[in-house]
Amino acid sequence: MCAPYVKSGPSASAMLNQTLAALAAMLIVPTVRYGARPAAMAVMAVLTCAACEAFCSLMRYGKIRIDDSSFAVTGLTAVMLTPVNAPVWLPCAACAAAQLAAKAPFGRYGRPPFNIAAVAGAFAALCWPSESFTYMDPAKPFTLLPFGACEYTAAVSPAAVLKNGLKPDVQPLDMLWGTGVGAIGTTAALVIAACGLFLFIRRAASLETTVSFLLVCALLAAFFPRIACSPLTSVKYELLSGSLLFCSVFMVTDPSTSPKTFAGRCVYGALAGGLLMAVRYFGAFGQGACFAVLLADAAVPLIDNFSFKTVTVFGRRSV
Amino acid sequence: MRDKRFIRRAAGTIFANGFLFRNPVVIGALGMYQVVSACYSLKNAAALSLLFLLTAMPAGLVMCLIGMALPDWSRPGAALAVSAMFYIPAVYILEAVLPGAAGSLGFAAALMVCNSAVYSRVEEYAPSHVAAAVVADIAGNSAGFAAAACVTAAVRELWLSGGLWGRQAGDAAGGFSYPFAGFMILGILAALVQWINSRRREKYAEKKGR
Amino acid sequence: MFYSMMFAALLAVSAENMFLSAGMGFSRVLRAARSPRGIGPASLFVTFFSFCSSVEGYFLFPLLPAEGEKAAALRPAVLACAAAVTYMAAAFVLKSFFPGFYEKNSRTMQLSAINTAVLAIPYVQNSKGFGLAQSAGFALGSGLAFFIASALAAGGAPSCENPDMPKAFRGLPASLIYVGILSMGLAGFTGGPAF
Repeated sequence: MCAPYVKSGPSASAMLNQTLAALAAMLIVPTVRYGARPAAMAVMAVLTCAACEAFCSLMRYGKIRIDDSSFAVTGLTAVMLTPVNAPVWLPCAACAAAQLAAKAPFGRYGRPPFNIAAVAGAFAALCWPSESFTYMDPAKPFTLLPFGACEYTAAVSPAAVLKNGLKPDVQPLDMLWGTGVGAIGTTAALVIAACGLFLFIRRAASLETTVSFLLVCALLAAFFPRIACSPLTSVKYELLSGSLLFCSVFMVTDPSTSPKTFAGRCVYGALAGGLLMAVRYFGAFGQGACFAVLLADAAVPLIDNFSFKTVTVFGRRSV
Repeated sequence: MRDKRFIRRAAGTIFANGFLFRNPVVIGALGMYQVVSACYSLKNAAALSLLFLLTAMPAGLVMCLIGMALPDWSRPGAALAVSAMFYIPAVYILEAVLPGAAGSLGFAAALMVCNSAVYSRVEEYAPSHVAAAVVADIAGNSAGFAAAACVTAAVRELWLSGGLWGRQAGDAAGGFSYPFAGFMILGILAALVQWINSRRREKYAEKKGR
Repeated sequence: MFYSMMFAALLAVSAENMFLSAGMGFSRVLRAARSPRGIGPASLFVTFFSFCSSVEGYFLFPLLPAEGEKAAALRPAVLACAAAVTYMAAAFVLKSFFPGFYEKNSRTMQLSAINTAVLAIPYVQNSKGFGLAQSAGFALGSGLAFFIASALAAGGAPSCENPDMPKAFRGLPASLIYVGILSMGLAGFTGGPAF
């Protein structure tokens, strides 16, 4: 009687498609600014992921079987974390390694315990750190061919400047528009926020995870600033630099690796935020979103276990 | 005569188990530290494999001789002490074969004395088996450790430097010297051996069914 | 002294995590993860024997050759013998005065006492130039690191045995890949091989 009249939650494939649409929208600003190169990198990365998916299904089932668009989400997310001046093979190699080593052994979408794009990002950062963290100065002249070599002036990202304990030259408000130094998809804070809003409204991403993530990052930035400035300025710089905002919308909200309960997702978001700030403060790399997500994903079974037991003890469902 | 053939066949099976079907590293999950952390070059892998054999074999034979005479509570400690005793000449032999290897390996060589694969053969297997079985078992496990170490090292060295045995060719990507690469390569090797074992079981079940 | 001890303990859990960053004692972690109820007692044993190992290393290292072939040969042998004596003393005391406890936990104790991570403590404290307090802190932290590594490995066990994965990867192969990815995450702190 109730079935056609009651709204159900979005299906996994619907969530993936909405995330894909948001990521594709994220490509618009860099493509307008830098030319066809970001789009070319995105296409190559997605094709690499598709090829790996096809290869694995051929090995396993004897036929090509691609059930969902998770491979495309992985490819686009990996490209968003890559500098526009990086070689085109960089996100492709990282995606291939992640698909073959972190996804294929665990089964289809929903089974791998780690966010595949985070694995790709961490792999690229560890194997090719100079290519992964060398950014161009968009204010100086540059030539970016879609598949060829690039001519640009290297610049230090705000995240790297903060890592050295210095205040970035750019104003926090100028970091909203996608004109700053950084990876392809991580500089346009307003676009990220808009995509996030779209995903939260469509329930393709969980708001509580993002809120708890950002809250912990903001509190740590306010109470333990890395630079000599007011707490508010520290919060602005920390939240707007590096891949923190992008991670809060597209990576920690991955429904396949997030905890199953509301409380669990809040704890997970807070943990991921704390780990990200710890990697920023004490880690070897100025940007630690991927590493933080991997470590937080490892704690998800324990968080789920604890939050289910808590629900049982208090006798209320909080899913 | 029949006994000798039986012992040879049994020794062959024990060796094969230690080398492949029950490989200590990729099936037993033993002795992983050295493979994961230090086997990013074939030279390192070869040195560690030699150290494994030279430590485990004499220690295993001694524990085969005296193991059951020791009280249960002292046997683990005794196995460690016996391994430690034979570690000293093992290092000198290693230095004679590969000069500078023990020093350059640092922790990895030093901790071979308590490598869980060495320890498990010396403490768990050797005291309760005859000498021929102990020799075959330790030889098989040494070969198995060497195989896992050398395959892991070869893949990582090719990635890092484009060549093998210390040869440099082309650019090196440093990430494969990290332990994560060792774990992942071991995971793939473990899957391969597990697949081989499952095929063997299926063939055996088919034969039995007939 | 307390702060340096706590800092060393924090290092043992995070950037210098021997179990996840370097794979030391990892076979013991995997075994502990297979029976989650045993993780607590195993961690306590690891803490105790790590502490003993750190004290042995602190007093024995200055007496041993520092460099060369002699150092490479003697140091590991002497430290291993010291660890063997410690284990036998502990086993004898427990067997004599607490036989029930010993019968129940002898295997756990043995595996916790004789493993790469516990015997690596003297080398780590020597390479970092730790004093006695820091060494003790590092040993305490190692016990906690063992607990965390085992808990994480136990938590990841269901995803390493799920029915959707290829049969060849079920169990240990997936666990190794799981730990490899976890190790990748920790490498964000270390920036290089930790040991």
